[in-house]
Amino acid sequence: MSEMWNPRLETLPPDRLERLQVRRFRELARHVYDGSPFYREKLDDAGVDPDDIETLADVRRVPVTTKDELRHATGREPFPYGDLLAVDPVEVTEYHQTSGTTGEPVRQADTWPDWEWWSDCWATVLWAQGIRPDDRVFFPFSYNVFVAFWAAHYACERIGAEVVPGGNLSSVQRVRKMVELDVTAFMSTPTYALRLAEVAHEEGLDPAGTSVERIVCAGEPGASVPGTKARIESEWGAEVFDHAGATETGAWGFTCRGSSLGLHFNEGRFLVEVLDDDGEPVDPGERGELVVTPLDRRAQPYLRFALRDEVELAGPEACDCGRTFRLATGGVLGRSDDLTKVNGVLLSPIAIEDAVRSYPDVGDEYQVVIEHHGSKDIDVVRLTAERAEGTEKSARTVLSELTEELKQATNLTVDLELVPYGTLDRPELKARRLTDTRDRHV
Amino acid sequence: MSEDDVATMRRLVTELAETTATLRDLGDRADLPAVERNAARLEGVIEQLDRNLPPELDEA
Repeated sequence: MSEMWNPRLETLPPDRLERLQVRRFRELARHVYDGSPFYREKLDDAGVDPDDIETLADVRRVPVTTKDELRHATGREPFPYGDLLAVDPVEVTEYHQTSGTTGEPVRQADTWPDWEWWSDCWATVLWAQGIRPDDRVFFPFSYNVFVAFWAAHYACERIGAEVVPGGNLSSVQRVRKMVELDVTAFMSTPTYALRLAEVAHEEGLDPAGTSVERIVCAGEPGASVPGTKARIESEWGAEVFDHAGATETGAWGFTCRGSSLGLHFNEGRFLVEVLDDDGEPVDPGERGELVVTPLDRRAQPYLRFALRDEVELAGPEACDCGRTFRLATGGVLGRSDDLTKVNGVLLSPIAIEDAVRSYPDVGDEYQVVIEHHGSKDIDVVRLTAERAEGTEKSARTVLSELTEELKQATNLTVDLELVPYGTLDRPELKARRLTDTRDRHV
Repeated sequence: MSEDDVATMRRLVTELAETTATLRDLGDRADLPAVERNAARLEGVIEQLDRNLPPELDEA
């Protein structure tokens, strides 16, 4: 059986892939021009006639869509989606909203065909990661307005796998249910995969001894952060995969079972651009910001949505799976909004995560606070971590070694505090571990 | 709704079911899970169409 959901599409030569993407972009631009006042104005202001889009250079004449624009547009009529809506409101069958990680949540409409599109895109992801009709997949997720796990749930059904919905259960109940049913895979945020392993241990169970063979992560970039991925794999004795997506775009990226530690762009269904500061495409090996267009969505699609995520582009040869889809080396490297300067040094939260999770004598959870000391006019980075359960190293040694690891990873001296195991919160969904209290960045 | 309409709907559902079965088989033989699995999903919808047009709807 093929390792790809659609091997013809996933191995399409790049020139034909580009032709397909440009054609669908043109059709989508025409659709939103006709249906959404927001996009009609935006395209008119840019002097772009949708029917004239014939190349990727033409595509780049369309201005990117920003999250701030969405927040303004959804405040307009028709309620509750605003003039981004490109179909008759009566066609909408699904309501979701963004998680609000970067501000006020944005409402998102989908028609039934859109919902089918969501789960077909997710099926591409899950099939690439080895989910098959004989899998029993558990969803330890409180089903609510957050879209990702809903779409993955329906993708498992589309594949023909057996789905076990684990909403409205405690973490203990979820672990017991997974053991009771011999589930072969589950989906969660990386943070919660680690939390469930912790709960299993508390219940006297060995997560690596369960029947779980695969864990698919979403919501945070952790499954592409080597230290975090290694921890989850070790705890569960399972393969760990990453998915990248957003409420606004759908599931645009995935890790596969090939040899690379990179995230493929799902280029059969999305136009994914990696752009430099001037809005021009970067070359393989270079970093840039992601701009994503979901090509097949209809109710509330976005042309060139600026995700504000940073990636390093790799060519398709970086992976030996046979797909022609390009990759982001190391997955999403961070939100460009989250990169911040501390005493003149650019600090990436993912560098901190990798350093902490790669150091075995602290627990999975940690918190970071960046403060400004006015009297000395310097920034201070404080990190609170838990001592790992059962570690034999002294607190002094752990502090010394981890401080050095963090310095290597960030080029900064971090003020480290160790607290007893179990002290810090364990979030189920997206974790926010960094707080910046400065009112100015020096 | 006339009896002819019901008969037409039944015929179309039968054709859909046959087409879907062929599509599923072709998807399987071409090793295209996206086609075979989606056709399998379609079979569930078509079965609901069939069950909503039982012979008991016919006027005796």
